[in-house]
Amino acid sequence: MSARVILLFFFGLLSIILSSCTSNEAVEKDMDCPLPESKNIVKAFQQASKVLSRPECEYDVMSIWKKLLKITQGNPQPQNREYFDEFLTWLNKANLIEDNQQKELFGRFFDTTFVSLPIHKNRSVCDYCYDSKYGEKKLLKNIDEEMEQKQLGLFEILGDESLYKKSLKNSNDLKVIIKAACTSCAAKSSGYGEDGTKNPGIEENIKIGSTLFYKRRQEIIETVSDFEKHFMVLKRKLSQQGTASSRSILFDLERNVNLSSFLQVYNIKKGRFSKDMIHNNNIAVVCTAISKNIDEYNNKLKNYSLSSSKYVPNSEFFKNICRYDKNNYRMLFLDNYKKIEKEQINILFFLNKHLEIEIELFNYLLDLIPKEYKKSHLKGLFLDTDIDFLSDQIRTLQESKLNISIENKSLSRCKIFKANIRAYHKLIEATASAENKVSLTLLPFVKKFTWSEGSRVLCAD
Amino acid sequence: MITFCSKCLVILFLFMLEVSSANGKIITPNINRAIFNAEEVINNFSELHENLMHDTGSAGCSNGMQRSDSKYEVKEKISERYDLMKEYLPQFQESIGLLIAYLKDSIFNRIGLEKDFSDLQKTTKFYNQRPSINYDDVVTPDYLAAKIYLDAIKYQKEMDKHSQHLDKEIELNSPYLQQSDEMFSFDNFNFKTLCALETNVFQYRKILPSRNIGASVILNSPVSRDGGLY
Repeated sequence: MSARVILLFFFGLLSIILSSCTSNEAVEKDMDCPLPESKNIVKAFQQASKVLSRPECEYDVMSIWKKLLKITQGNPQPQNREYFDEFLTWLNKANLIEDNQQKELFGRFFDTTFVSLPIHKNRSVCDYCYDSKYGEKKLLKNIDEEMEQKQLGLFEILGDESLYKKSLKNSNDLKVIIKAACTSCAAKSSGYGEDGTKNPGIEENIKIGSTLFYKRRQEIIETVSDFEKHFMVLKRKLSQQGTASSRSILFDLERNVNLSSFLQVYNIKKGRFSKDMIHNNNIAVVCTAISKNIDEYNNKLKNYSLSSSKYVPNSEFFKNICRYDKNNYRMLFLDNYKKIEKEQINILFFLNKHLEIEIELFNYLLDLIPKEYKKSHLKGLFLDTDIDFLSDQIRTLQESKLNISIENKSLSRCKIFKANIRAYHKLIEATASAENKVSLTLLPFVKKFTWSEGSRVLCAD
Repeated sequence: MITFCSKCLVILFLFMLEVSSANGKIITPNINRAIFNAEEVINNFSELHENLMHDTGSAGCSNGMQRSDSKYEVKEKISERYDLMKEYLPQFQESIGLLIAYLKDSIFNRIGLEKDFSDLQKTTKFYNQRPSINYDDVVTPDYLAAKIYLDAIKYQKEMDKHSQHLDKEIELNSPYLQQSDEMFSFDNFNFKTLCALETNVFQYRKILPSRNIGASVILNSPVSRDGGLY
């Protein structure tokens, strides 16, 4: 009996100790980064800033933000807008949120325009209608979700009924436009000509082009998005570690980032990272990829008896498009793209869209490189090309009994690049004209190119 | 005299302004042709339909046939309405198809390919001068084009759906229409499809933009000013 009592007493004591430990931990956790509790709005914002000033609470921004929304929800007044604006500005200054996050958070709750819709240079409404990440349903859902946030912000927190109604109208209008745009994008062009008669070729061409384009775009977007995710996670981890070795890796990573090295070094290769994509961090390859697509597309056009010769970018185009300009390389690229786009909105729809995604990917990769190193790495990125890419073409052509040789010449990288582009053009022309006696000389690049301060290697004449 | 002249000048100026602005507006002939075509077809149909209803009695769709109508009149009226619908239905389908095709191209090129989501929210709104269109007073050209396009698709679908049942309905009603007045009964009669189609036609008329306002308004975007609508 006494043993039983002792046992019961022992378990009771144990459970008390355990429960007290758990509650202490919970209390300690809450005490670490407490959410603002004051019903006085000014005090609540002060509490929030105070807590977030502590390094260990930096990650609680969103939960504190939500709590502030809840506190102000019960007390609607126009001044709340300023409190939130000031708070977001403070968060930004304290490096707790980025500029775009600041704008987005404010816009979501306190502005009548919709910020949850993706905005990216060179991507149109149609692109998003086809995007697996977005698509029409997701776009409409985004608007509905943001509308709920606006209801909370504009109506329940600011008490501004007119702004709320305005945003409601915007959301309804936007939804109608998006539905119509996505329907029209799915239906593509009807192919009606200026005289109102139907053009039988264009619709079919666009269908072929669009299918290829959307497939390719999807691949690139998935690749980039995965890459971005891994890259950001890794960077965050490295900076959090703060050790000498992690800093060294981070240093290397930031200065030598490109898809292939990143994937190799950090061993996160996946099936979807095709070799072709890995080398897409290279503008020379982008150029050759473009020419490859022109070739493919011309062949398709021929099947529909549509002459496209005047739309084929000539060597001048490539010279311009692939020319490095330290100040406005993007503009050059885009200018040329725009020139073609104006001429051939329908016929070269596919090509233009393809260019667009290449530009997007290229620009994305450039964005990853820190500004101060962009200048130097640009040259490397621009001039490096991958002979393997051309070799695939060579193999195909050798089967067609074309006379192709690979020579090693001691030329500047610029000259090598230009020679290869010229050769590649010749190769395209040969394929297009079905000639079978063409001599081409291709010059392989040295794989690693180091740019040194002061050296000028420009590909312009 | 001077006052009169200045008034004349003002009127002349306004007239010239009107003419020049009308000429200056780039109204794509294709979309105008589609609107014109649809209006013509609907107007012709409406006129004939109205005469028919006027001549033959008070029966409509929403309230059903009036018991006061003579049986002969009802039979005649229904038969003629079926004939009219049979004659005009292919024309409605063609005109709405054409309008949808041009709007589709317009939206595809002007919004789908050219704009991003920030552009959509930047567009200047305009006052919708077509009160017969039951949309909000203040809308964007993008919105108006989108709304007409989606509505037109809706009515096209409705029309296609009902048109499939039209022949069947005529076939089912045929024995009753041939019955003598003594034998004829209102209760045996079903003209649901006919009524639905007639309703579609009148709804379709409501969404049509006017040739001079609607079309130019739909196209009144930076793209169309450059002649970029296809």
